Amino acid sequence: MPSDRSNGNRPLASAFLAVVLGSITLFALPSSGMAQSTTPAQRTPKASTPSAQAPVPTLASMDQSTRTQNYTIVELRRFRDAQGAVVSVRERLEVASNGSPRPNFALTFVGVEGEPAGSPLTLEWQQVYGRLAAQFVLHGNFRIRDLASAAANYTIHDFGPVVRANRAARRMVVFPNTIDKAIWVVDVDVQTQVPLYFVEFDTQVRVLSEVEALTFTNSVTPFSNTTTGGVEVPNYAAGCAAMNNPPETVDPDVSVTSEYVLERIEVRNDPLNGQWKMTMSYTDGVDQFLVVQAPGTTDWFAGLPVANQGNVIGRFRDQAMSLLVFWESGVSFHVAGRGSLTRLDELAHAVFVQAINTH
Amino acid sequence: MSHVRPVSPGDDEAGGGLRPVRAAACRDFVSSLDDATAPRDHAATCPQCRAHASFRAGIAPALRARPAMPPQLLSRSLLESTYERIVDAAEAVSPLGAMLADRDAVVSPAEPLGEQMSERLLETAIADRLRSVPRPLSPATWNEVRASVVARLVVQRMARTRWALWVGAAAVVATAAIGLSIAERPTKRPNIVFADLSSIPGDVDYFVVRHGAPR
Repeated sequence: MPSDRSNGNRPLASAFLAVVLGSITLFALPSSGMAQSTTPAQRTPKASTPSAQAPVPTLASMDQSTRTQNYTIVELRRFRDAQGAVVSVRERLEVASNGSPRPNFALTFVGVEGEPAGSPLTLEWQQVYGRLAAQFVLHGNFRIRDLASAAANYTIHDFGPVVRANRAARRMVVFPNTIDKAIWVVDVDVQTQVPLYFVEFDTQVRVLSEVEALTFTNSVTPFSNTTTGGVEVPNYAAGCAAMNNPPETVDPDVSVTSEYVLERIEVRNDPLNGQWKMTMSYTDGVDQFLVVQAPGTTDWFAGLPVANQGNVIGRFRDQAMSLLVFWESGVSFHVAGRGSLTRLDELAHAVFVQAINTH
Repeated sequence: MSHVRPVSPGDDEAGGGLRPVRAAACRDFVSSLDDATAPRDHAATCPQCRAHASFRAGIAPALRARPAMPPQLLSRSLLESTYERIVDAAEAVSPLGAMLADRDAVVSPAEPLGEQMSERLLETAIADRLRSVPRPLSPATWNEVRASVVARLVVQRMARTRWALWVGAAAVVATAAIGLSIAERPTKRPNIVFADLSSIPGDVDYFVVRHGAPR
C-alpha cells in the first residue's frame, strides 16, 4: 500500500508496525466502532461510493484542513474506564477556521447513549461538559498539532477507502517512531481532509480513546466559542506576569523529552477560590503532555509517612494516562500525559530538582 | 647514440642552449622499440633508425642468452691454483699477511699481550694530541667567555621568574572564579522518591478527559 514515510528505513520498527497493524485489523476493529455503526443511515449509505483513485490524505493535508475548513459534526465520544466499561456520549462539534492550527470551536453536549434525557447520569455528564468541553477538544482529539514535529516523529500509512458518516473517506494509520506513544487509526474525509473517526491504541492494541462522526456538514452557523476560561500567553515570563509574578514557579526543563516542543501556555484563575494555575502543553506533533503549576497551594503529602523518605512524587499510571504530582515551596506541580510515556517520570524528577534548586 | 652538442644559430631547432643531435621523431622511434605494438613507419623514411632497429633486433637475443662457461674454466685444478694465488698475494703484501708470517709475534693464549700491544695501539696522531697539554687561554678571552655564561644564566633565571608569576596569577584567578561559582549557586542533591497512587489525588481535569466522569 502507498505510504508516506518521512524518516527512512527502520527494520525493527517496520516489523513491529506490521505485527501491530495486523493485530488491529484482525482483532481490534470488530470490537470498536470501526467495522459497524449504530445508525440505520450508515447501513445503506446514500453518499457517493468510495473511489479507489481518491487522493490519499497526508499529515500536511490534515494540517491544512484544520487551518481552512469549517464544519459541523455530530459524533460519539467513547470513554473507557480502567475496567473497560464504555460510556458513549453524543456531542456536537462546530469548527470555524481562522488560519491557525487552533481554530475556533464549540462543543455541545447532546446526550448519553442509552440514557434518557434528564437522568442522573445525563445530568452529571452535562455538568462535566459544561466544565471541560474545551479540554475534550484540546487534549482528547486527534489533530496535527505541529506539522514539522509530526512529520519528524510519525509515519502515516494508507489502509484504503472506507465510508464514514455517509461520506467517502480513507482509512489511515498514524504510527509513532518510538514505542512509548499511541498508534492512531483515522478515517479521513476525502473531500475536506477532516478526520471523521479516530481511535487511539496502545502498543498492546488496547483501545484508549475513540471518537466517531455520525453526521458531517462542511459549514457552520455562528456560535459562541467554547473556551477553557483561561488566557493564552506567549511565553513563561508572560504567564508569570499574568499571575502577579509568583516567585516559586519554574520554567520547566523538558530536555528529557527532546522531540516535544512547547505548544501552548495558558493561565487561568479559578473564580471560586482565586487559585491561579499555569498550564504548559508540549507536543511532538500529535501526542501531548502537560505541565501544570498552581502557586499558593499546600503540600498534599505533608504529614504522611511517605514524606519521611524524602521529597515525594506521587505517581498514578494506567494504560491511558500518566499523572505525576509533587509540591515545592507552595507550588503544586502536575505532569500529565499518555500512559505509555514513561519518560514523564524522568521529566517530573528533573522539574522537581529544578524547583528545589531554584528556591 | 645520441649525444648533446651546443646548437648553433643556423640549426633547425630553436637557437640557444644545448640540444640533442637526434631529431624528436628518431628519439620517439628508438624509445618505442621495446613496445611491440608501436608503429614502425618511421623506419621506412629514416635509414639511421632502420639500421638501429635491425642491429638491435640482431643482438638482443644474444644479450638475453647467458653464454656457457668454457669447460677449461670449470676444471678443479684451475680453481685451486687461483685460490693459491690469492692467498700468496694476501700473505706477501698485507699487514695481516706479514703478521701471520711472523711466527715470533704469536703468543700463547696463557700469556697476555702486555704493554707491547697497548703501546703499539696508542702510537697514533690522535693519541699524541690527547697526551699533550693545551695552550692556555688569555685572560681577556676567559673574561669574555665568563661574562657570556653569566649573562645567559641571568636571562634564564628571569624567564623562569616571569613564567612562575604568570602561573601563579592564573591559579589565583581560577581559584577565585571557582570559589565565586560555588558560592553563588550551592547545588543540592535532593532525595526524591516515587510513591505509586491507587487513585487520583484530588480533581484532575486530565483524568476526566481520558477516562470520563468518575463512575
